[in-house]
Amino acid sequence: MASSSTNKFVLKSNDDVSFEVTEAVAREFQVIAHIIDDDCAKKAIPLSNVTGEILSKMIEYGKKHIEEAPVDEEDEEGKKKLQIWDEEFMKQFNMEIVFQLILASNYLNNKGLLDLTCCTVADHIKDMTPDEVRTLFNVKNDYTTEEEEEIRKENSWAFE
Amino acid sequence: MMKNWIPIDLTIDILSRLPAKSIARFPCVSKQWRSTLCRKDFTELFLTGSSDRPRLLICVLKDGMSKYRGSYACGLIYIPRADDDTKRVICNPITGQYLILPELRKAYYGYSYLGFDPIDKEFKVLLMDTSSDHIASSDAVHYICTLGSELGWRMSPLGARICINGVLYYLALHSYGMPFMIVCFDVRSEKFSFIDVDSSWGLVSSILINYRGELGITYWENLENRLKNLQN
Repeated sequence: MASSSTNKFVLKSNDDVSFEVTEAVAREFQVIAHIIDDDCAKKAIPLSNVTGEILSKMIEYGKKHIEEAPVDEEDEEGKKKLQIWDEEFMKQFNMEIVFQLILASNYLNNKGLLDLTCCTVADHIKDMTPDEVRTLFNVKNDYTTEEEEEIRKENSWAFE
Repeated sequence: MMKNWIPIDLTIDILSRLPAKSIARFPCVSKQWRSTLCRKDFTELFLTGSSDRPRLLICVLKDGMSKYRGSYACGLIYIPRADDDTKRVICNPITGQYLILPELRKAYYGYSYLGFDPIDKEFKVLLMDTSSDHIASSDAVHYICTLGSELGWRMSPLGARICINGVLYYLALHSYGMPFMIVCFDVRSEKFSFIDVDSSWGLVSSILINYRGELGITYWENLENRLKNLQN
């Protein structure tokens, strides 16, 4: 049997873009690892919830985390290097793409990327007003003016 | 699919990574956000995440020296009263909110400590009516106050400095002075149990600590400060 570094798999996005990846990279995504283990990965693996644009970014992330994986738990330098790369990696995306990455990393089950993308959104919104948050998350304000004022009073210290 | 739409479980994942000030502001976003952010399990998720964040150290000074033996449990700080002029106060250092506990009818100068029950998610203050350090003596009366809508002291059928996994631990002397022991008070069941310790360690210089989630004690032996895990 071929080793995981030479075994190749094809991942296909919902807009019909195919990517050939090594087994190690494919296994970065738990859902794909299960498909491989169940021996259902002979043909291209269709990923109905992910576009080619998002999938290519996820594969880039997965590759980097295989190639530059810290040697062990003690490898602080390795961890730091990867963390800096993660931060740079996220800087290229607008929030719309980050939201799509959250959905896709949740769907394909990659905990590292899900953590990274959730932290990116949290960091982005932490100083926002409720109104800015509504716009970003596409949430409708279902309070009356009086109700909103009342709730604002409960935690007035947070608006200073 | 709507633009920027994500399901509520992933929204919760994002929100649990926010600082407290943002969490206090965002109930204003919508009714669903409010009910999510005010749920006890969200608070717990937030506190789990925040244990990696920097901690606060709070000192209370009076007449140049701290008379207060404050205790900390799960985000809240309890400051017992030191004399007639003061009140027993629980405060939340993140929000700046505070709560004054009701007075007991008689003047009590006993020891009191705060604990947290992780199952029912309740905070309780245990107070021991005693005038001396003999806080486990059989004649001490114990009172419990649960934080909630109706604040009040209940007498407990049966002397805590540290709360780990729902149990309050404190050092106490037997009525006759020697030897000393550790009293364990289960915040949920309100039951007491005891751990015998080596009396040569000395009550005054020993300190109970939370050592990686287990009860530890530091004590002096042959002029060296030592640490012992009491749950191994």
